[in-house]
Amino acid sequence: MKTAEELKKLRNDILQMAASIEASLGDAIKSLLERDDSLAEKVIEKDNVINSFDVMIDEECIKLIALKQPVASELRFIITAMKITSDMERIGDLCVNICERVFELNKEPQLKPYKDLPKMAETVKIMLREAIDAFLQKDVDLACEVIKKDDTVDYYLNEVTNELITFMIRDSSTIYRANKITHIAKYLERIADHCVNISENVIYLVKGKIIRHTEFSQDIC
Amino acid sequence: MKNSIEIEAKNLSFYYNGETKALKSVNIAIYKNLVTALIGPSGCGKTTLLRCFNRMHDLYPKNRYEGEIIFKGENIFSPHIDLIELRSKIGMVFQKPTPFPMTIFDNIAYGLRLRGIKNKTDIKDRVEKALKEAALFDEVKDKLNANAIELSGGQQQRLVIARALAVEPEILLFDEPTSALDPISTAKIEELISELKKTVTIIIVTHNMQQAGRISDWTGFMMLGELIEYDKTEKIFTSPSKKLTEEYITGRFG
Amino acid sequence: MTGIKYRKLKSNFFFTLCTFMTLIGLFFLVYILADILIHGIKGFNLDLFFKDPAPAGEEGGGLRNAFIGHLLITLVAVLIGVPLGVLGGTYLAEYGRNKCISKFISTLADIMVSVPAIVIGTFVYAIGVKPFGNFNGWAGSVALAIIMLPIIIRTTENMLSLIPWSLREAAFALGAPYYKVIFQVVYRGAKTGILTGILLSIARVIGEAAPLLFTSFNNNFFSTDMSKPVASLTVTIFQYATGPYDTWHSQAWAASLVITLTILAITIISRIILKGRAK
Repeated sequence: MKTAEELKKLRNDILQMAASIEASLGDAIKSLLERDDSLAEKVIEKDNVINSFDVMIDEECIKLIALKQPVASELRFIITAMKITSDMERIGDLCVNICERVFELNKEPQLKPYKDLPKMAETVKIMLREAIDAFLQKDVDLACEVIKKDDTVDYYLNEVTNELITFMIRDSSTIYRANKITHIAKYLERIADHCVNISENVIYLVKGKIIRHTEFSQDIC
Repeated sequence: MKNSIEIEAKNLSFYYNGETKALKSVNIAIYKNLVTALIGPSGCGKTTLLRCFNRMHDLYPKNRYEGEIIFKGENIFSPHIDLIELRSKIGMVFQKPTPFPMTIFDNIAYGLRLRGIKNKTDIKDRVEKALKEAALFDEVKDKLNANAIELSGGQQQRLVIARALAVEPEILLFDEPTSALDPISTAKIEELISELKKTVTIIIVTHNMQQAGRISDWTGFMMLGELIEYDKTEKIFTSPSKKLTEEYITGRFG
Repeated sequence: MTGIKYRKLKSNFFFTLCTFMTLIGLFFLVYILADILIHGIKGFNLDLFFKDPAPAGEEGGGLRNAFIGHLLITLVAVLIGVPLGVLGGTYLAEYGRNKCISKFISTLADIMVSVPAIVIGTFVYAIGVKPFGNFNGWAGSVALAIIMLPIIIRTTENMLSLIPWSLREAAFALGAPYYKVIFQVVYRGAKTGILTGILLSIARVIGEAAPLLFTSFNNNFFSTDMSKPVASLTVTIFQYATGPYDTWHSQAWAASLVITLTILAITIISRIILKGRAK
């Protein structure tokens, strides 16, 4: 196959994997909020599919590098693809983790009506959506939006954690459930971090500059 | 990729001038409708092996073959094999473009006339078909009666390919076909080869490893007359089994 | 005198010397050509070509027999020499490519190019005249052919060798047998070179007198019978120039002019052909 065709196929495969991840995240959050065991089960099963995507895309990228000597934007695309799929695969694993906590929570009565958690989850969903769109459209501005939203998620994490701590202090019987919910919040925060990674890699893809581990570069975002 | 075997060498050894052993018991199966590349350092025997497939070595009387090459169920070294017939089924393109000193039309028609095809319409149609297959027709359709020497290097090489295609071979052997060409002509020829493999089985000898990576499906690595490793190109270039292969590919020698 | 001035002086001196020598050489060349032209023009008339010689001493007459005879002898020589020469050169360049004997034959041919024409004439006398009892046109043609042969062989061999081996291989790879490769591919590529070689060998022999002297001799009458002596321009010039009559002298000059112009024409034509090939 010609290099251009192979790159197109690669892009499609990433698209497919992204669709799976987005669905998994949506389902995981839904299974939490609606206390739905079967939905959580579905998410855990789907993780195999996501893992095999990860392997397949990696192999495609290695083959392209070994055989086609890509340079410039083509090379950056392939490198970015490998990194993004790695982040996406981790998001998939975190969704599984969320669902495992959901199973445990559903065995107990609901601790309290969720207030900040749904808002946090919604923000994370939007971040994932925008990060993937930024990659597909090579949109630096959109990527910057995602990076900015990470602060919101950190804020929500703080709120949720603090609220649950007060619960645990007041009534020690809530500790088990509060603990699980805290874990879920942390998973969501890590998913947000992976979305930030994806966005930083998109910026590398477009601008050719690695901005990871640097301060939020003023000239880019 | 479950392609059938088109041609196969079995325990093939070759002696130049009856004495110098240039190939040492080579076993290789070439698959149909795929591009197989032969790579290796200078003097490793890849061109020697290539030339065994259409018995080009027969031109020099002292050369000697041992072993077999099976094509269409027969050993091509059998005495009853018609060389002319063999060479129409197995064509060859050389390193330096070699247009004959005649018109473009006559060049392509040469192989056809050699076979006794006389019908003018027949010849005209097949010449046009061959030129189209070689992606040269559009560039020369108005000057088929011009001398072939007037074409550029890349065009001449495509002419030579068209000339070989005119007799509808089943296998095409390429001996470093782009080493005398500029990068753009090289890219055109590589694209052509990738297209051609749909109808013809291709074996290509190349000094340029990256070229082998770009266009071939299977790759054979040779050294000092032996076939060291033969596997899918993807495997050879990402995780070769033999250390020698790895050293050559990463440029440690050769 | 400084170094550079000294070198400049040396350079100029050498340049002047070369130019001077060239001019001397050219001078004699021009002198000879002018001489032939001036003397030859006087005897130049249509009668020269269309009338046979008048009885000795008488005015008028022409050299028709000599022109026709010379043409005939040369034509037969070409018919003998060219095929043999081309095929011989082909053998050396193709089938005998790597054989030791080919090198030997090539060297022999090179030597033969310089063999004095009169020696060849004597040789052909021994085998082609004496056994038959009389001078004859065939012997003359054979003598000329023998002179042409090495030139054509060597030129053909050289021209064929210039065709790269890869071209032949390409033809073989299409399934062509060797003889077809030679006729259809190699000859086509070398044809201008071979033609030039042939023309040059004709130019060489057309002006020879010595080999014809002992073989076809001469004939004062018009004759196309090759088994008897045939008139030739060159021998006629020899006869007339050393003869006592003025008409003979002027006719000899005219004939010399014709031969010189012919050789000039052939040489120029072959140069043009060769130049055309280079394009």
